[in-house]
Amino acid sequence: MMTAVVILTFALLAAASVLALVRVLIGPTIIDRIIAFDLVAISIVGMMVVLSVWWKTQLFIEIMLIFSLLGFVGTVAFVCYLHNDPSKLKRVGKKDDSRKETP
Amino acid sequence: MIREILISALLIVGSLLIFLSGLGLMRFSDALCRSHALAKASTCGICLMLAALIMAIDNDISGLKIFLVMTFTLLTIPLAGHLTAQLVYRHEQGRLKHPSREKTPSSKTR
Repeated sequence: MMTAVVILTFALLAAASVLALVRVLIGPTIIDRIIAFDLVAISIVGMMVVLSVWWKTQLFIEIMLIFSLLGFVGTVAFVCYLHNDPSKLKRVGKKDDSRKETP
Repeated sequence: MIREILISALLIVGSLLIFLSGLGLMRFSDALCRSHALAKASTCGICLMLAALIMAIDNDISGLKIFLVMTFTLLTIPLAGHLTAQLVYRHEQGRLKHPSREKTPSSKTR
């Protein structure tokens, strides 16, 4: 029973990270890409949780802490970078608008 | 046996919530809607999965560490969602797509 649960949860988390990676590829603005990368980090932490439940080990707990910290710091770094220089964001948005109007 | 069933239920519900946040990230139309879908659902899902891990590893110190991870997750993911939503709201105020959101008092430009 535990094996089926582990396979099911791994499939759901992998599907979530694949959807987030598709959003990273096709995201219209840069903010969508930041949000989607946050979801990739969260689903990787979830995979670590499932591995720890399966193997009943305590090795991954610190790695989970560090990985969630890294995802948060990456998001905050991107937001600060775009906040200090909003012309980058506007440039991306204008490109997106022209790309939408051309077809 | 009961503990295994509880761990399985928590793991499945948590991963289903994370998958639903991915689906909302894929299907919604706007950056604000995507941030809304991701922040709450993925926070709840990862906290349920960490609660399952607390039950699976029956150890006090590991439970404290996992509780620390859970508190940190509960603090950081809504904060990241708030930061990105603030960025969207500040810089894309005049050109949001939906006409229903134009009635908010912030869109005086139209």
